[in-house]
Amino acid sequence: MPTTGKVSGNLMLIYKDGVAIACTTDASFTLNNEQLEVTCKDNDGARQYILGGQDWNFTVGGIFQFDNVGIDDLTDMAIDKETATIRFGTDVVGDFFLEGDAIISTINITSPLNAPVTYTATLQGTGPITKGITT
Amino acid sequence: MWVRLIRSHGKIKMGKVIKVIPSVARKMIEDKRAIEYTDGFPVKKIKTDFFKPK
Repeated sequence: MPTTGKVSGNLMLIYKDGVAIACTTDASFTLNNEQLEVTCKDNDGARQYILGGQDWNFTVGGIFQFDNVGIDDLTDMAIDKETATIRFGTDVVGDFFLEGDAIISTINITSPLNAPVTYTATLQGTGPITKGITT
Repeated sequence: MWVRLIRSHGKIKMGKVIKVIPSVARKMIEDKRAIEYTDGFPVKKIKTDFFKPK
């Protein structure tokens, strides 16, 4: 049954090739549509736009674990310059998800004093983003 | 869906409990590469007056 009401952030995960990145603490999706200005004199100063290129990315962050699904795969993906199918959504049948092929544009691992080792990665979309329903 | 791997999946070792999308979980279970994992997760309690006699 699809999720109803307000959704807890804990349900929405980043999946790489269908497998959830484990022990994440943050995930986000950003889409930008390029605006092409087409204002002409006839518009009497009211700016007019049409949309051009579309750019999207996912970011994911979490607690570093050597023996879990996540940073191991992401570092391999970044070093090998691989493309993977990334999904952002829940594992609940009937909920919609956002999915597309992505490459890793940045990955950052931080190991501070008296704090857990954490990582963040930006998964830059390459090609179209699609929206589907979890089945 | 949470599954326990009974075969390694890429670099993920056998025995690991992982969360996967339902379609992947069904394929893994069908191919006998994983079993459904439900242990250790709280069962959601539903509070309702629907079944109470009027």
